[in-house]
Amino acid sequence: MIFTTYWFVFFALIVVPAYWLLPKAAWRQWFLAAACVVFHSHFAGPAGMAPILVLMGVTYGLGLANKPWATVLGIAINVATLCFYKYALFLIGAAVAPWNADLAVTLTTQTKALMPGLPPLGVSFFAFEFIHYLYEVKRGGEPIRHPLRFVLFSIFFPSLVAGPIKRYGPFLAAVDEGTKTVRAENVAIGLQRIAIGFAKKVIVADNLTFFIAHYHGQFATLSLVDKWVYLAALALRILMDFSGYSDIAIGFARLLGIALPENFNWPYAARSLQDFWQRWHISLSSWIRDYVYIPLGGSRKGVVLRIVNGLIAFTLCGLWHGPAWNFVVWGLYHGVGLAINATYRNVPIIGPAIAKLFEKEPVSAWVLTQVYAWLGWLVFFYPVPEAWTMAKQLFGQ
Amino acid sequence: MSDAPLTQPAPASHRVLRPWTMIAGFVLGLALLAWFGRHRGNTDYHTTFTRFHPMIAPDSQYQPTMREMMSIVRARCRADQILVIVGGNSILLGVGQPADQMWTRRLQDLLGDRFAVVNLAYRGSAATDGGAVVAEALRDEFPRQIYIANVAPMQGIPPHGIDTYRFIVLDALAKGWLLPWAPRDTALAQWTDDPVTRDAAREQRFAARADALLAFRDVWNWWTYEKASTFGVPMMPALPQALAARKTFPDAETDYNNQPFTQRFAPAFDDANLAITRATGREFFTADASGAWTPIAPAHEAFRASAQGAFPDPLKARTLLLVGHGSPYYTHRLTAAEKARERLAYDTTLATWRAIGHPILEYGNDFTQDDFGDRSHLTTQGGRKLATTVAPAVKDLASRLGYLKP
Repeated sequence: MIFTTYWFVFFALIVVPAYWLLPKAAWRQWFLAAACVVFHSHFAGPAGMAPILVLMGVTYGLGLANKPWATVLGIAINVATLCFYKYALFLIGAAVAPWNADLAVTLTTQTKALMPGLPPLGVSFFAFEFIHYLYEVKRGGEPIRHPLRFVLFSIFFPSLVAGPIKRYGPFLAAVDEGTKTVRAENVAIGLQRIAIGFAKKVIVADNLTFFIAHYHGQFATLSLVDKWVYLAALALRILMDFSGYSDIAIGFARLLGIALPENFNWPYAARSLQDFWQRWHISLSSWIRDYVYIPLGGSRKGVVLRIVNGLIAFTLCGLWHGPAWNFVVWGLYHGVGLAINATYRNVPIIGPAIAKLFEKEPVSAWVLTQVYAWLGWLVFFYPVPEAWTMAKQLFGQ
Repeated sequence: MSDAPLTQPAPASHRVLRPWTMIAGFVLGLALLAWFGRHRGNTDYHTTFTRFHPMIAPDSQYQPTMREMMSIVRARCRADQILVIVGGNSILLGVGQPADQMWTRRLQDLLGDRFAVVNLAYRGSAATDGGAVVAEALRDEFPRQIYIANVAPMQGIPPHGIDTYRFIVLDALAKGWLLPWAPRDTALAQWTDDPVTRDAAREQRFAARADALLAFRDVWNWWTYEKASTFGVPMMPALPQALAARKTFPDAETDYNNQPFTQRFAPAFDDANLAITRATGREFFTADASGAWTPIAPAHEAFRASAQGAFPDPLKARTLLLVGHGSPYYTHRLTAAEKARERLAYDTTLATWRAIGHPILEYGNDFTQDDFGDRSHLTTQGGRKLATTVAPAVKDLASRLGYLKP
């Protein structure tokens, strides 16, 4: 975690006060851009920074061109870049290997030769933000003209590594507002969010990680109650880890006067799966909704296409988390859950009865939602066969 | 007259930050914490310390600071005593011996009050780790000092220690407490530039420099030792022990005297232990046509160079190295040829270290099976024999170094 490195702590100790002391908004924006470049170059290194700089240049140029063909081309380049760096090896293994193992080996070797050791830092976030930008420009949005503003949107250091995924309109408005003056209120809120984020990450999530690692090998021998405690720990760990990271990102942005979108809103209080996805990783789920689900037709073309669109959107959502089958299955699992959530009322007799029960006893809706979401974490963290075995053991099998 | 103020305070959302006030407050806070860290680090809070058992060692993610270790030494050695710091690995740590029967306690008894023995060995550490760094840092404060560590036959020693304990040498270097020593600087530079270790190395070096200024590790170690851990102790998965203060954990090292022989010398590990025993000197000698062992020159040169660079030149003469034998349970099963090669390896090791200025002592050749808890660690009985072997050598060395008044 970059925010817990000593380098970052001292980077922030220098950058934030210096930013505060600058007297003009324009100076603050230039200084902030320079700090973002330093941050990105330190953590990504030249090999990780180069593809992102190229992608930035292409996206900036094609956005400025402001032509439908240019924005479509830009979106295609971003998708291709993301697929190449993050999914190429997975796709070769999934699509080529079953048909031609030799060709798959050759392609894998050649692809690896073209790649850096790891995908460029934050490539998923860059690609999603750039696709959003080009899509909005295509829909009539004003392109970003000043390179400085595009740099700030692209590599704003608090959200560079793990989001939240920004929207360029609100973000640049926040930059304009936040860099005017440094408000005490923002600093207070920022410091609180950072403290909360570090506590969530370091005290809660890291200790749960230790607990989970210790008991993982013994899962089959745990009592039934302890197995559910383990599942709860798994669910709490990912929430505390990820939302803690988001809190720190939002907090550091707020220290600079810049409001980032919220990413979590008590997801484990959700009483339906749809509600869950309006509270969990909000910036991703809303991105998927706006740039995958709705363009596919959303819920406007009948029940069957609504379900199909949802499944496609959530499969992509799962795949976004990593190039592995368990993420695909996790996405599908939630896609199926959302499909059931959206249509169960239409099932004669049973549907309305269940809906009535949920209305009268909201706790039952909450329990069902959370059990479904928590069981999903098994396949998020473990290979599908192991997750299936663990799930069966949770129900005494 | 109204009680209302003449001017209402601005709403919170309109208040502009006064950066200098905020920064000054922050700097003051950091300065106070840095002072507190130095203050705690310079106070010996390990009042029951005998050695770095796992609950106060990196085994359980507790990393003692240089200040902390130096305070431990200062609290246990008077200015009129000759300081004897024991470093090295688990053998000298006394793994297998209960705290009250450790070999260094016996060594202290045999050396008497003119000496103060402090055990700063760590599991798996090299001779240049922990205790070596503390001894070097205290070279002026305790000029009459002897450092003892163990080495394996023909084994090279990294001058910057091993990865697990490198935080100690980085800590001391960042504080400017070590002698200039080119082999160590070169090794650290290579470690920092190696693409595999570069990121972690830079982060560790940066952290050490920052800590030299702010002493935050001393604050956290004190808190962890006295109050509570903020991170679960790996060996203690159940709450509340997982987060308990480290001082609450006793030195619960295994007592080999209470373990049955078949557990200590488990048949399942027999082949592996025998293979390790048989490997002594294998990389350094080759059999010629007549079956006699002849040295492999490049390997010998690499060993000699490693030995030469291990310790700074001014410290070599007061660094007593121990090279030990393994349990006869395994060594007795060596073939005659393997025994001959092993003897050559020991002789070469002794000669090489002596040639570059180190006092060195061989031990364990005459130890019995009961002296060993396993292949290499000693029982209480073996520890007593080690102390009996080492004590005269320490006195002799102290005499030769001019520490003992006639």
